Amino acid sequence: MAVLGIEGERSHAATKVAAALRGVLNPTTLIALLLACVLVFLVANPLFQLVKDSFTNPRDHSFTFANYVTAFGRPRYVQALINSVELGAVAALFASFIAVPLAWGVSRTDMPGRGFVHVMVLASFLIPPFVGAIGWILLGGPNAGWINKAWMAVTGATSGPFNIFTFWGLALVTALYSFPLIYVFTKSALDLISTEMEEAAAILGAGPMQTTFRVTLPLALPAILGSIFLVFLEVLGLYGTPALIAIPAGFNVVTTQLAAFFENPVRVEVAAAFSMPMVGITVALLWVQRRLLARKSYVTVGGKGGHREPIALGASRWVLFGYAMAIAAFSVFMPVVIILQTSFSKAWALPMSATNFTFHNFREVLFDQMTVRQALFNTFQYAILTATICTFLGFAVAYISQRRLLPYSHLLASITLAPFAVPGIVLAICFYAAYAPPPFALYGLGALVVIAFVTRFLPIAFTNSNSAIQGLHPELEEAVRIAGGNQARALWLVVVPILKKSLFGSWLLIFIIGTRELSTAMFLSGPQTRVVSVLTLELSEQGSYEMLSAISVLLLIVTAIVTLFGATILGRDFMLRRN
Amino acid sequence: MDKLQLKGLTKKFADLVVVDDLNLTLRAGEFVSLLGPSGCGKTTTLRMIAGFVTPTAGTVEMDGRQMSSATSSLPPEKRRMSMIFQSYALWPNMTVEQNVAFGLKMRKVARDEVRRRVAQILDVVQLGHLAARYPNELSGGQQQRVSLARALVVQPEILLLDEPLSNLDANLREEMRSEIRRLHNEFGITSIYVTHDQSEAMTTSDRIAVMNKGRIEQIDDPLTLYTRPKTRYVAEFIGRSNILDGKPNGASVAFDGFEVASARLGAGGPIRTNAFSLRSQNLALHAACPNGDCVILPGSITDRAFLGESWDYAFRAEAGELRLRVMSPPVSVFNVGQKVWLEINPSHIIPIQDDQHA
Repeated sequence: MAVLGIEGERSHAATKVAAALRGVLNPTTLIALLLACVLVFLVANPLFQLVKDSFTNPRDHSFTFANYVTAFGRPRYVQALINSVELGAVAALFASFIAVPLAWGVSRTDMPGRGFVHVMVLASFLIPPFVGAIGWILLGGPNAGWINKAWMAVTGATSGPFNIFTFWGLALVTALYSFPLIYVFTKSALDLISTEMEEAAAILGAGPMQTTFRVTLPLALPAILGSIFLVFLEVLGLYGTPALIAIPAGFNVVTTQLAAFFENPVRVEVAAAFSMPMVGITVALLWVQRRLLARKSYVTVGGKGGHREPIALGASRWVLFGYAMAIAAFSVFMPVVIILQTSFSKAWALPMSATNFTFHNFREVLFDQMTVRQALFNTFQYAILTATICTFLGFAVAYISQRRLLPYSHLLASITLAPFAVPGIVLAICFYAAYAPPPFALYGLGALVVIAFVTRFLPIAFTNSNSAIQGLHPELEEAVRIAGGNQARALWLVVVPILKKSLFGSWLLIFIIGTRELSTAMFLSGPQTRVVSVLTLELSEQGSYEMLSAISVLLLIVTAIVTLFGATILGRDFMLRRN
Repeated sequence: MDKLQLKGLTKKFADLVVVDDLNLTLRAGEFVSLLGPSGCGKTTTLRMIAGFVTPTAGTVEMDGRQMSSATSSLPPEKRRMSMIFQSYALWPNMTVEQNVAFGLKMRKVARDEVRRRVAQILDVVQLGHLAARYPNELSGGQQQRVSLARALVVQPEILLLDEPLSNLDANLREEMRSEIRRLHNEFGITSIYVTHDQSEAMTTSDRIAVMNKGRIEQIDDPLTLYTRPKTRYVAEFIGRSNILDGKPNGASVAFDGFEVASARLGAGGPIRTNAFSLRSQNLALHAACPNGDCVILPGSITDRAFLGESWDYAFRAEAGELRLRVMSPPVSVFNVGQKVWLEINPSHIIPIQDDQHA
């Protein structure tokens, strides 16, 4: 830029062009341009291909509405859509019944074991939804499920009362693994409400319960509602749990229906058309959620965040504690115990005994079965690659857009955030449409899975970096510049060292959710590039629950180790921080 | 009549004594400030009166009835008090009207009566036209007025104010502190005002309690506090003071370079201290040696700063080590190094308790 300034006079056209080129070709712009290309490849092009394919006749590539007619022409396809919306609504409602009392109990009351309850919520957040679903199939299967067997043993009845393979069973299991999101939002809103807000109500004559219902909860309401919407959307895009439960139960939801369109013959264009309502609902609800949370004055009202006396619940604190323990049992203890037991069993439906005990399942999974070994290896390899690329890209975009190093850098940020509005399974369709056919022909390569994962988790990496950089005063870098260092030096010597913890935190988070990502991998992993989550579905169809449990145990152990490692370095709640 | 009594009030957090055996009595309708730097225990004292904090020892009594003690504490909502918070603590989910009506609803006042009283108090604070607005649509000063209206409308037994003006800019702060005093004159509610700003305390209060390290150093009306500080701490915290070393010597006190008869000092009774306060505003500089029976010290100006409304001079006496700061009106201009005569009226020399060496 300085070069341009010196040229000043309108001299030769050639010098001006050279100067302009030098202006454009400085390292910052080059990196930024490269970044823009990467984002187009990762985000813009796949999304564009999705829309384009939905209007394209696959045979002659002409424009058509026929795909939409096919997608919505049959009542059972439309029914799948309705089922999804119903499931999302019921599960989100269940989840809020679980999460809000727990968040309130932990944040505000003298409920016993608050720290333990908090850790239990974290634990249910860490259990991959399909692992939880497998646990509940073992617990709540209509005849062989352990709950039903216990019931029959106690009452002498010939059949159990509980059937997980129903709409309500599915809704319950879904809620048990999605409520932590509402808990996190509600708790942080409750923690952020200034103590003075509640004290003002108290001094004017409101008792603890009046204060809770007239002041505290209304103030937290936007955050609670926003997170309920997010859970609704998460359930809408969920594939694993419905595939494990809804399909045997004999009904479809959008995601399982989309998967059906991918069975031979693969009808990408119909799947693309069918996914449009889901994208529409997602975009609309995210917009509403943004609006709700935009009224920032609700929670960030200043004032001395004084010491808050917990509300004394009296005897009912044990009722709340009992409720929390029941939730912990349903979402963590019971499924984990049953999975552990099954993983050491020869036959899961038989009672635990010396004759039924075996290490066989783990030997199979770790050594004998090549497909499983391959899938485990792929899973961790892809997760590590994804986390690394995401963290780097997310940081780069966040830094460039925060420091406005480029014109239109806010556009870069918006593109980076766009995948957030696309459910994972739809993203898989996007990438299939964009990069499976020639000229890219990436299908069957690990690269396709990794780039789809990167796109899927890029918004998380970006928002993490973005809020970290926001907390960093630009004067820190300006001090480096005025002392004689260039931008790169400022970045390397000041920004990265200060942010390394939060960058590491976002790497760990993406690694953990990367090991369990199912819906994005669904249509993209070929025989050699299968990941564990995809494999579990296949094993479940075959009924090999013992091996499935062994894999789940391994996945849980790795998750637990990585989380404990992260928690030691970054603090207990590093996974739960949401922006 | 005594409205509020704090007896031996003490609060410890772990080993830290925040409020230390504090005694204070407020008459009905009195406006008292707790003045002190941050960490002196003034806010904790206020929160014990409100019932948000339970004392470690001592009691809070209102109208002779015990509110707080180490063993039992009436919850805040039953004390019939009001409080103005530093952040105003207006509920952002309620309109101005709903905010103000809240306390009346809690007191189960009839609906018509609520409406009438809310309208009335909003007129008093000149916010009647903004009743339907939400707090975040108001300016800082307007929010402060809403918070005042909300506290006053319930006709509280006692009004507690916790640094209410610290979030306002300087001009608005001056306007609001006279507003607070005006409302006090109008309603006569017994009030306790916590602040670290002495001008706020001076302009609003009947009496000021200067607090230091959890104790009240001195409680007096503003003028007495200024003219007769009892301790070195108060002398230095309120206004600008020179602290003089003096040796009581029978009927007189010997200072560095001059000696004054004890009877002429600003004190009654015998003098048992070595420390004396001398306000820099009470000193006069002269270009020539003045007449009169005041103490006259020749010396020179060693430094000066023009503060706009006054000069801040550093004066050094010719003989001895005496150095004083002198505030002079803008018209009395002296140059650095200029020879001057300093005039001290002995009655402005106030013996103080020297807690620095205690």
